[in-house]
Amino acid sequence: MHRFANPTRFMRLSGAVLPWLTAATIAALAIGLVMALVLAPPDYQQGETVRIMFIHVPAAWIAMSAYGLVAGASAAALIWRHPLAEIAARSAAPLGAGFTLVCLVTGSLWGAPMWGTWWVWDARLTSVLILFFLYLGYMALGQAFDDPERGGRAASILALAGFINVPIIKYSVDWWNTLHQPASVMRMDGPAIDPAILAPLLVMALAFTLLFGVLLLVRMRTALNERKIRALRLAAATPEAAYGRPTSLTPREA
Amino acid sequence: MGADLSHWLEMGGYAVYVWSAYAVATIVILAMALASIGRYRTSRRLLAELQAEGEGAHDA
Repeated sequence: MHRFANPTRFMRLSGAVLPWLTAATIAALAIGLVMALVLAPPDYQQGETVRIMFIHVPAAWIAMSAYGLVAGASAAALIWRHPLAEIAARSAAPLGAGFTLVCLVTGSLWGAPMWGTWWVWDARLTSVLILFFLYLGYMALGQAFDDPERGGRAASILALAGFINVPIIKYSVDWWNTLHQPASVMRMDGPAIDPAILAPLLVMALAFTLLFGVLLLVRMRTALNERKIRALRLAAATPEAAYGRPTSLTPREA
Repeated sequence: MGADLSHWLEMGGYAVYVWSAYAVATIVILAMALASIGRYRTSRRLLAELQAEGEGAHDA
């Protein structure tokens, strides 16, 4: 694992993987959208609104697993001080926030016709709203200090403390009364969902996961480039610094 | 064909909700993708410029 966490090696590997991952993402999105909007039959209870599920549920899965990634990488950054771990967490957070926003808005647009309300302050909806604010808080806190290292550490601690919210989201539909339906795919006794509806859901989930992966790699590469730009500028401004830290940077890494 | 298309677009009377949901998802995802790719391209260009300058300085 530590071998892949080397920034130079990361740039080389991610650069090689990125074109293939992008092609796979576009293909999965195209197939998923045709399945979701055309091929899937309307639900016997929910009619055509079930098509909202094909974006709502994958967005929710990504929103939660991205937070798991932010928290896990933050823990690694706090414990081992590895630069790539913090870059991974910082790069994943805005994407997680975006998918959480998609989850919230599409859920509201689904709730309006099916529940008769855009919003209820129940455990599931409220805990996902808190997830959204945790992402925003993490992003803001990381930039709130003059010393970026202190900001990074404070944000990492917030990310770790906020992880308690993830199991609360997952089990909120079992622990409290809610309008929200319980889990129907990830169940101990197998998915309680028709294959004609399950297939588009899984393809869209794959597409969203690939998309998240592509954007995460792009953002991590950007962060590493920007770090090198700062080091080169510092070296140019103070000539003696050129014989210090920046010599570890290989010039042809971009 | 035309009737099929308009039937599909109607989404069983839920067109507003279904199409709004897909529009919002498209806008948010596109915004994230464009912002990420734009910043990536800028970083690559700046880094290439700085490295070209650095190599020029070594030659001199």
